[in-house]
Amino acid sequence: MTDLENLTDEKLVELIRTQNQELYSTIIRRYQQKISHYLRKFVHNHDELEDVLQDVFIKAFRNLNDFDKSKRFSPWIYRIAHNEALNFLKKNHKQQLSLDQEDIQILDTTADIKQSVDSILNRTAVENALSQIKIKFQEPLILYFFEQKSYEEISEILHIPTSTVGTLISRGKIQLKELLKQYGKQ
Amino acid sequence: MENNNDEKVEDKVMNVIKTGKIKLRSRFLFLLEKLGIGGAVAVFATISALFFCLVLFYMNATDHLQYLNFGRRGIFAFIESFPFLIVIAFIFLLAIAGFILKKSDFLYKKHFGWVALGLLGVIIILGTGLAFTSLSEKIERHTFDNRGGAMFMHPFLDQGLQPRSHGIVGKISAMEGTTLTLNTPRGTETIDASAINTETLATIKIDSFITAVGERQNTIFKALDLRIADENRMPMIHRGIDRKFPGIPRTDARCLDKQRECPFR
Repeated sequence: MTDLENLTDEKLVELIRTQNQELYSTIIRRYQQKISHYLRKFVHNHDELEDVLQDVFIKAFRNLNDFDKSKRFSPWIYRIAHNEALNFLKKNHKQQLSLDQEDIQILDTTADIKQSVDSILNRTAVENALSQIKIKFQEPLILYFFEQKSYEEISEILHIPTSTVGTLISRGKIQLKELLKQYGKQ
Repeated sequence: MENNNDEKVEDKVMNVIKTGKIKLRSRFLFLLEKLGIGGAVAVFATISALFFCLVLFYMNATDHLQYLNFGRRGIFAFIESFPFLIVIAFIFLLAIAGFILKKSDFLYKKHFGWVALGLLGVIIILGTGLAFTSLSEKIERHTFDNRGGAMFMHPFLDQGLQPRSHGIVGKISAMEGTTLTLNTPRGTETIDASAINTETLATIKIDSFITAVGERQNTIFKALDLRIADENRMPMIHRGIDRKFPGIPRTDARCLDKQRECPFR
């Protein structure tokens, strides 16, 4: 058991593919909370979130043979979660994001938006502002600030060059600040 | 509560795995999928290159570019004879190839702009290369002979031989004062050359291959400017006339030399 816990995701995937498919439960345990935290931004209803989460793990399992073991597993499964979240939004015509208080605190300390928006930095305002930003800016902002992913990881998840990640985050941040300022004036 | 939900998802997923309801997709399927995507890109890129080659061929083999020699008077005829359909087909196929490429893993962490530019470059080089072969002429011949699969190319190539409102090309078969009878790929047409100066008219004789710009008025084409043209510079038009009026002797050097392939045979 301890050995299993010490195995890297990539080695574990190799074992699942070649020896024991039941080891996939370890992958689920490792990623369930992280992926759930990410999906919660897009899927607010608890039952729907559970369904999407299940779909992510089922899709990941079915496609395990497509995973390139020379790359990292984490961005690969996040990519699947990202696609499932987008599919969910498309299917349900939803755009509104949902953040928890912890997310707001993270944004507050890392995104450098406190100075410009100060008193209006409440959850609803940030949720609304983020929801209004184009999805191409929204995705890297969420992954960077709320999921604490590096530029490199975001680049792997979204399949875009690392330099583009930086540009999108920087532009997204400017848009977010502008929108929050507008909310402050209202 | 959170832990209960975590276990629920894990149990549900593991349950469908253990019962065999979902299985790992085989590596072979993924390989096939990648080959399929690669093949589709290659097919669309190749057809796109073929259409680029046809654009070059069309411009070279029809009256299209000749109208530019008439300056402003030839603009309408130039626009009218522009191969819109072939160019649209070229762009459309290029876009499909680009779209498939964008959706595939090939673009993983690459700038789409650079890849698209590379794809365009490859297609243009390939298309230009094809233009140096006799492929376009073969397609043209097969199209107008209604042979094989080339028949579906009619909508693209017909425009090269269609009547134009502001331009005309053909071979003079009769002259009566300022009225000229012209053999064109569509049959004989009458040109009113009364607006053409006498010096230019004097240079024209029967069997001259001419290009004219002006305006079509019912069944007569009123020429505003007229030039003697090199018939070999518009082989598609000439082949069209040949098909309509068989037996016109060829002056193309390649046709006089029996050892060489004559595109008009």
